[in-house]
Amino acid sequence: MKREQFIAYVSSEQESLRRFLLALCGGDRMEAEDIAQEAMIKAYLASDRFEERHKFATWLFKIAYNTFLDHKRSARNRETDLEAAAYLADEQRADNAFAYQDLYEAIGTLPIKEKSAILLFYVSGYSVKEISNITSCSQLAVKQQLSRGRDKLRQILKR
Amino acid sequence: MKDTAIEKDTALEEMFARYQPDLGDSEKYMEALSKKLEAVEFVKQYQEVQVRRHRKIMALVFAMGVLTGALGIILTLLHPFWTLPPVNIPVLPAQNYLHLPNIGFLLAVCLTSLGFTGLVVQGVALRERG
Repeated sequence: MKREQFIAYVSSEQESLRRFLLALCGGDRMEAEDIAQEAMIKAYLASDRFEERHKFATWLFKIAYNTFLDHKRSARNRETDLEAAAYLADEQRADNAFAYQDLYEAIGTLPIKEKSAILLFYVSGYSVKEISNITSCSQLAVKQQLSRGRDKLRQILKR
Repeated sequence: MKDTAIEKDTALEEMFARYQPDLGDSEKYMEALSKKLEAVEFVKQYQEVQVRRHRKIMALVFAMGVLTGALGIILTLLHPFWTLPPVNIPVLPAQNYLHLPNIGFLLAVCLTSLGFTGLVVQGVALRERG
């Protein structure tokens, strides 16, 4: 795939992808942007292997989702209290996070798989089949994740 | 396209429908991304050239190795010609195999071939880099 073609594809999907990642990162804009950039570069480097028959958006979301999981795994090892304090002290970041605080708090209570399934379904508008392709889970598992996630969110919203 | 089998939940749908965070200027974002991809493309091309160079050098090393090995085999097949002691020196037949000047000669041939291979590869590597 040529760079111009790749940019054209990404251009139509980047907002949806960044919105999904921002919610997935609980409003941490910097982390979400880092993951989005990394995912897009990974996608660009792998674009030669991209098969046209698959939907580009699903493929891009799959890369972004895996990049997010990698970030979470590495962040678990390096995050310190000092970094957490620096994160909260960042005024702009705090503003961003508070804009949708309720949503981020509610979503933050869910395990990663349920959170991803819920966000892909409600924020990005993907079907169960597409979500199962993105998260590499079976369709049945995705339906269970959606059901459990919805129940938990309902309980939180009732409070 | 959402799965129709999935139960609808208006409260949740409304909550997520309201979720429209400000992502900044899309055009600027794409412009910055485009510049990054350009840099990535440059690095990618450079790496591809390096890989091609290394493959070429490896192929040359392989060819030289085959030639050197073939030379060694030919010399071995010429046995006992190379292992025979110089004319008119009476030695026992069992000592033929341990005749030091001849073993030294074979060793010298092997080391010369190896050295020659090394020199050729180094020459190619330097030329490719230059």
